[in-house]
Amino acid sequence: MGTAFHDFLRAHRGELNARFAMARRRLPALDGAAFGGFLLAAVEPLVAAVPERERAIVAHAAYDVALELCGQRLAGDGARDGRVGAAWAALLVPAAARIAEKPDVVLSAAANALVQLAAEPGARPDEWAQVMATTSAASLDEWLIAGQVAAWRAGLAHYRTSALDAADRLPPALALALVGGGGDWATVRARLRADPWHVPGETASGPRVVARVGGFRGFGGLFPVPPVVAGGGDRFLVMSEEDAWVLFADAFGATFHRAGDEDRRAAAGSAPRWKGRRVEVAGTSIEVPVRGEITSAALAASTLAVTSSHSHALILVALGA
Amino acid sequence: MSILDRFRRVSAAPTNPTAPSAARTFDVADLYRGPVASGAPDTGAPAVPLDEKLRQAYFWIVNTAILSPHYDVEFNAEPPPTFVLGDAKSRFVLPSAQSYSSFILMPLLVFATRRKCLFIGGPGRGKTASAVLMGVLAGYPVREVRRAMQHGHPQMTIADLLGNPLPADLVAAQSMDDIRIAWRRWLAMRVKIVDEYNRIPTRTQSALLTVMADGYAELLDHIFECPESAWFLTANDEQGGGTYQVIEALRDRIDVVVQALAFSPRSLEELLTRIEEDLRPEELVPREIVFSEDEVDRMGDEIRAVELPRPVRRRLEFFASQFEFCEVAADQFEYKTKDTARLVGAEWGALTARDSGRDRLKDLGCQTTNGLSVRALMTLIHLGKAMAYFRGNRAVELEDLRQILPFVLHAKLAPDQEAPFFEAPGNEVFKTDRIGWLRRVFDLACAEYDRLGLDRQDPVGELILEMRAGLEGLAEPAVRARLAAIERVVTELGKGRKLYGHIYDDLIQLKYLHQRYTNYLRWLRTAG
Repeated sequence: MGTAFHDFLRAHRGELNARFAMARRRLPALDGAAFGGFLLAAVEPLVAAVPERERAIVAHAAYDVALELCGQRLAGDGARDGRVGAAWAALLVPAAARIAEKPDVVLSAAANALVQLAAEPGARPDEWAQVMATTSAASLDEWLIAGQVAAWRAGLAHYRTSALDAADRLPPALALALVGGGGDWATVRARLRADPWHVPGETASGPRVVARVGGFRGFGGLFPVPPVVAGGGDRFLVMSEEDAWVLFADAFGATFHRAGDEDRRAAAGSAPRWKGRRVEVAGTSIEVPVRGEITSAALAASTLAVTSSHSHALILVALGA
Repeated sequence: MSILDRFRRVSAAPTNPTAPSAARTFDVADLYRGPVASGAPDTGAPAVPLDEKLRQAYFWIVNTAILSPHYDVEFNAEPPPTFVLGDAKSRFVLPSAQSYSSFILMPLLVFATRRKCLFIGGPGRGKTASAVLMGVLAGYPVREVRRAMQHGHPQMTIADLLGNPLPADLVAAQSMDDIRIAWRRWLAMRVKIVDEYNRIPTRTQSALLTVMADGYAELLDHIFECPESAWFLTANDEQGGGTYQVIEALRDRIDVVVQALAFSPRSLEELLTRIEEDLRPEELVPREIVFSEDEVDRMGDEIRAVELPRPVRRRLEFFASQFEFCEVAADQFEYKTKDTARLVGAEWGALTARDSGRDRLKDLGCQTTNGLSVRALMTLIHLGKAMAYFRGNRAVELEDLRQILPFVLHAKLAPDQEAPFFEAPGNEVFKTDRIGWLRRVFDLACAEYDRLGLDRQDPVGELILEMRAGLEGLAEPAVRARLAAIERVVTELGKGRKLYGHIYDDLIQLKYLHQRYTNYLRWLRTAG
């Protein structure tokens, strides 16, 4: 055990033990051995990496967040989703200077962001941690806003609109670095706003299949039966038996959220017509490689979504700006 | 971060999740919200709505501070599992929607509406601890709340309660204006706590009444204006008895009465932890659930803006109209009230013995010895709105009123324990169960309202609405037609022969309407 962290544990032994005891009463899954291992792997290097005068406060904050993550089985041995703990631990030393500014803010914000990312199938918490470890934000506020943009970029498609708004509050160079590509930020942002399937630096355009999302519940997907889809604004409404979800999708990810009554009511608009495997969109006939027969098709946010009789997945077709 | 921050954890929002009423918006500002508390950064995330904050305060208190597993304020989203248990065939219900412990909820609603709450119950049940928590929620340090708490005792003087004139001024002053008063600091606080108020001598109670009722203190012709405050009083005795009898006017100013229920020994482990860890919940209130003065003001505005829909209001009107009527109290119609009999000190038993015409079991008015005051009704409406607000709704539901009503009317509606209702099989229990009785009376009133079909057909209500539209431009034939319509409705109401409270109230209203039209008709003729 590193000296700095060892000294901290020894100096605050009674207090830390009491905190562990209280946390275990609230979080019965908190395992002492797993927590100890996680402290060694994640917190000890962080404490060694911060200036001496910040060590105690950083160690206190990190100890508490680690308790929460291990107690919720998001970190340490036996975690139900170890990606959160692993990504959080990987971020600590590279971001040590930022953490030392406001330890409780940065450590809890990073943990919560990673929990959200890990909760979305297809999102990439490790990618987010990697971006945040190397981002060149000039201040803590900038760093946190950069985290919001990076979270969208790492797969949280439902944050797309507000993340682009947030990116406007960053220096253009930082915003460009976060979304990828180069050139003028205003131009890149305009393209991103107009076309959810635009990836800065890539040139793909025109109608093309861009994603298959969903899946059979028995195999870890969402749908008990092949779904049907409706469009509406910036999202799709996907229904399977009695259940319904709102679907957001773009070039960086696709996320489903349980739909409420208003989401169901908001889904409207005329569905495109289809014949066989060809769907008519604005006078263009697009061939969609479905299994079985098309059961529904819908348009939203420059995207065509198609469901079919023999598949639990939706096929998403980018229509281009 | 201190050792006890784990204890300071607040329930994550939303605490009462419901299907969203509008298609959701997803804001990346929410990215940093999640299971890990502490130091949530301000990166554009909107502040927690005040109703959510109030619920978080509730859940923190109920889960962490006051160990109250008594979920007696029950709400149901669907028919709840119900069991019949014991020799007394007691109903045991497992509510199907978020339900609450009145001992925590009622003081919180009083805090949010800045009204007055009385905690009753035996010693050591958390009455004072709850009151202190309310002070801490208002942003006062624990020590200040404790110091500001007024402890009733038989020697308590007005000076103890309000303050003292400065001794030097007393000697040197040439007039009252020259005397400066050292007002007690608690008078300026927005949460006022009076412990064991029933031990305060009667004369000092009168001074307390002025502060409670009128919001000012007076000493030697000097006035101290108190800010609008939430009041929390405690008493070991429900009836207001104690060392000194509590004066009626003071009791009447109390808006809500809530009983501290027994400690559940299953929670002993929690007490053990508090001893071993030396934890005092009131010292660990998380800052996230502490309300600023401005927030309480805004919360008050938001609560007042909660709608009381007409169908719910009509049922409350119908319920309230049951109790004041006393047919044998007077000859003149307007004075046929229980208050008329009370004012002359009529013997209640003799009075009810003369009341032989009606079905005294069916008539809800026969269950009480008094009617409802305007103050009680205003409190009921205000706290009904607060209940709906607390549940995240912007309109009061009937169930909100049903749940809040027993705590508001606890000390306002006096049961006539000799009434046939309390002798009926299965109703004896209501002689001791005030909360259950009041809820039952409300249910019976609603059932009667449904039986009469007043939601569908309410001729008196229609006549009132017609009048509210105004008399401007109404011609003489139309006025005559309305007068005839009123007389027709009076005739219809009289056909049942028996008079009940709600019919009496309708008749009083009809007479009023008739008078307005009669006067207007005379004016038309004079003007024309």
